[in-house]
Amino acid sequence: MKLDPLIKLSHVERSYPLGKQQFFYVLRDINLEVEEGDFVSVMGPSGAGKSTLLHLLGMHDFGWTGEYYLDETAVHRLKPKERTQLRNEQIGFVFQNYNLLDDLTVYENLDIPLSYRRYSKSERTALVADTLDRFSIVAKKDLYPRQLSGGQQQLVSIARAIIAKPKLILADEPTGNLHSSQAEEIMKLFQRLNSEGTTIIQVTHSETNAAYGNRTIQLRDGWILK
Amino acid sequence: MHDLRFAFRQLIKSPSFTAIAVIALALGIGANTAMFSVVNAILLRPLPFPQSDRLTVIWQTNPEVTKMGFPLAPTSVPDFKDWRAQAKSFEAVSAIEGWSTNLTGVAEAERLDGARVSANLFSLLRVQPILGRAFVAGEDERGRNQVVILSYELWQRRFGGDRSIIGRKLTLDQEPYTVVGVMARGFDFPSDTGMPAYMTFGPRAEVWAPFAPSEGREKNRGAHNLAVIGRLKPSVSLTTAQAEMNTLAARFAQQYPDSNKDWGIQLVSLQKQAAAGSERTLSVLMAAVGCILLIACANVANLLLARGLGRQKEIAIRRALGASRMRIVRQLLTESVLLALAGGLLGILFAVLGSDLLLAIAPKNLPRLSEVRIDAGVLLFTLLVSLVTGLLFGVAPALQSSRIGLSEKLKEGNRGSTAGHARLRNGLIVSEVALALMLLIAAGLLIESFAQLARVRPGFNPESVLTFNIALPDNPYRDESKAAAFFDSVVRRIENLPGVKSAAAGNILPLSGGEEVDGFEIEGRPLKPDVLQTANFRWVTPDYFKTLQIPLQRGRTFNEHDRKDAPEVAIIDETMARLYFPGVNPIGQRFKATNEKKSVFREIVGVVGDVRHTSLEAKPGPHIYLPEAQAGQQSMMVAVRSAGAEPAALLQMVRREIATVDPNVPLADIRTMQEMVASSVAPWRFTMALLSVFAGVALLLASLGIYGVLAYSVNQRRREIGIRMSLGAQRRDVLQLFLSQGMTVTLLGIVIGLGGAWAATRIMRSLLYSVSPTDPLVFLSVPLVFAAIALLASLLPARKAAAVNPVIALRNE
Ligand SMILES: Nc1ncnc2c1ncn2[C@@H]1O[C@H](COP(=O)(O)OP(=O)(O)OP(=O)(O)O)[C@@H](O)[C@H]1O
Ligand SMILES: [Mg+2]
Repeated sequence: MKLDPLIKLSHVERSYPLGKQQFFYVLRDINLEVEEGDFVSVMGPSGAGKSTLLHLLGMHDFGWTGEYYLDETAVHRLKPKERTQLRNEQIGFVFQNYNLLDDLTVYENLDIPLSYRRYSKSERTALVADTLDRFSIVAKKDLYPRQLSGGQQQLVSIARAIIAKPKLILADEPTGNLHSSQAEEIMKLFQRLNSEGTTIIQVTHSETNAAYGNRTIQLRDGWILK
Repeated sequence: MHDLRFAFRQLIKSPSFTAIAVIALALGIGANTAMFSVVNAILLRPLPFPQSDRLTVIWQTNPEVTKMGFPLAPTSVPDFKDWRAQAKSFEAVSAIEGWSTNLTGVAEAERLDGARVSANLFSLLRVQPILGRAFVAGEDERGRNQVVILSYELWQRRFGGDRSIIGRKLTLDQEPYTVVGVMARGFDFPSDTGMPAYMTFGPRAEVWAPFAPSEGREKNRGAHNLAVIGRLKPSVSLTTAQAEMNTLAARFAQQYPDSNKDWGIQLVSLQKQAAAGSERTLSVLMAAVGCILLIACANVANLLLARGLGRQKEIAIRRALGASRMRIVRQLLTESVLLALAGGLLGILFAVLGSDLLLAIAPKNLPRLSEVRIDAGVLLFTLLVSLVTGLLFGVAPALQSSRIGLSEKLKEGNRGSTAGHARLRNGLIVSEVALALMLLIAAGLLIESFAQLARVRPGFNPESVLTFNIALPDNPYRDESKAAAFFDSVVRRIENLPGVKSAAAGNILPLSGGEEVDGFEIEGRPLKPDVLQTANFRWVTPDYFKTLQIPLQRGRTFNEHDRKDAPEVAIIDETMARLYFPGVNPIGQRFKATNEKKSVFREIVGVVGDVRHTSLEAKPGPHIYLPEAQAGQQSMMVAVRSAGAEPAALLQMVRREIATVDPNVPLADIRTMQEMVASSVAPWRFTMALLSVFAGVALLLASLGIYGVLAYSVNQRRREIGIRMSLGAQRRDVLQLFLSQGMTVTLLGIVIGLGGAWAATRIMRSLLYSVSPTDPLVFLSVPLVFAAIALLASLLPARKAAAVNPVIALRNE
């Protein structure tokens, strides 16, 4: 076990301007530590700030204050370009609505993250083939997203999230659009990935899904409930 | 009606779309309207004479004369009279001849341009004087021909429109002429009928007198100097008439072999002759504005396609409510035609402004320019163009937008496959780029030509030289020695003026538009019967070469000792020396000019540098200079080199000096030598300037098109951009994604455009100077420039794409 946690947030705040001199706080004084190998579920009512927290952790959003350490790197001190770099090394995303690219095949969708990282052509081919195999979707590799079921699409999107071997997966309501049986499959997949060493933070509304994780964080109006 | 009202409401509803589309269309339609108003006036509209399509010019042809550069030659008096008597195809036949005459006995002497014409010319043209009468039969006989008809403009300018002018006597070339008529405003025949320069009709005809040839000319079939015009009988076609004239020519060749052997007759419709000089230029320019309109259409079609996407729901609902596909297409087309008509309306405004500009920069020697106006015909053209334009850019988007599978649309919401759509949009951009590139290459070729032309060394120094023409009247200057003495003393007096470096006279100055070609025979080399040996002859005063700064290569220039009683001498130019005395020192050689009255051998005393006489672009032919004092010309051009000051400032002093020699001699054609050079390149500049402007507009529209299609695509693909960013795309990756999209269509368009240009610029060959229609420099640099500009146009939307905030892009889903 490392001494330092994988993620450490202290006094992180996120607000949006609400007109003159007024601010609407979406996240307030967030102090949070996530150890490597954790499987964290973030819960809370709609509008609590769950997605905001995830985008912040995923370095999509830079408009916050406070301190954020990821794998011992002080994210709050990085330049935008360095943050993208760090994100590319550490993080994979899974979205509620899969966010596969409509005009690309399954194979091509899997290849996108690799195309943005330093992989050779042959490494890319090998990794995509591996991943297709691992997720048992080889037969679907030439299909377009619209030719897949919702569950299959989410499977592809998770495959895409882990293909570049991130340490951390951020999943925003990954089963929100799925039937419970499909959801169960996805959760089992997350559990397997987690057991293989990937840290996972998921947003979920369901206690059942949250139970797959080892930790739950409750958000209310931007505050973390202790 | 419902369609129209709804269409109107739709356009009002999205003002920025409507504004952009209308402006793009107005540019296209405006350019076409302006250009068409010119083409209409110069090429299409009949000449301003009743049944002008029946008017033909009757030229003669001769292979030897063609070789000298004159494919169409004038006619002799006896030939003309025989045609008039024998040709059955014509209702009437008239002769005309250039005439320039000095008006004296009035406050300020003035040189007037005009024509001597057969008495029946006015009835042949079917025009009547507004005051007085036309010439009557018999007035074109010697002794009865001292009558004159004035142009409206001359009557107003010199006589204040005084109606009692009829019957008044005017002094023309020291002879009394009675004014018998005044023509209507604007009548200046044969100006603007494309008569060749060597026929010496001035730029605007202002006086007409009957043509009564001398007894000598009545007999001389070899003296070709008349233009002949005929009116075909109503039932006779040009071909029939041509056939008849061919028979006549063959008969004359047999009857008068000495003079008429190898002389044919060529009929040219007057309308066609008037248009000939500008046809090629105007068709290239018309093609250019056509391209602009197509580009504008493609742009608006793209805007409509984009808007069609936004209206898919409206259309789906209409279909669900029972509208047929035809009905939807009709609705959409109504909108685009309405849009085009709005563009046309604004386009007319652009055209009015544009054609003023066009006329301002047009060379003055473009025929019929004064007839350019936006009239009913032009407006009809604009209306037609607008309607066709509306359909052209409306059809594809309307078909595309109406092709919505109902069930698909209602299920899929606003998304769904847009691949076919994108292909159409990209295809439109590719064609825009290709067309614009072709225009740019055409403009590039013309600019390159003009640059080449500007680099031409004319062989003389046109800076700081004032020029004018003096034509001495027969009385008392018919005597050669009197004419020579006049010019001698005028030149001396001018040379002594303060601020004048030197002065000289020559019968034809370089680039002044005149020609004087004659045969010659070198001593010891008898002429072979079939070989035509000609040179350009110039009579000059001693300081001619010094004044124009034409370098002396060998021997000497003329001096005051080369007088009438001195040995006959000549100076030749380098081309003449190279062609006729290769490897021989021409100094001391002797030759005889065929047309000189006194048939003597002249000795060559000097060789001077070549001078571009006819135009900057034409390689000079052989030239022979003779001393004016040994010939005595009645019409000479005077060149005055100033010591540094603006040459035009010398004019007042020069006028005074000439008036002291003879107050009855007017100055004409007052220009600086620089103006002469400028007007000799004016047609080039005109075509180049116009085509460059058109190419610029095309480039602008095409760049807007590229920008528009990318900006639209960035908007459509925000979510995709967000996803790609979350998957690791850096700013650079996103930039690259859109730049490469922009550059792919651009490069494809460039390749197609290059192919098109390769094929199309060939028709421009005659408009180019010293540049091949496939000039590699132009074909290489224009695509590079274009690509750079396309890159800029793509960069704006691409940067916008790179700045997409993934949080917002992903949330908006
Ligand atoms: N760009 C923005 N400007 C202003 N307010 C914003 C913006 N983005 C998010 N918010 C606000 O922040 C709050 C938190 O939003 P967030 O999307 O994080 O909620 P959430 O917990 O994910 O809710 P849900 O469960 O519905 O997805 C919301 O009240 C939202 O209106
Ligand atoms: Mg959310």
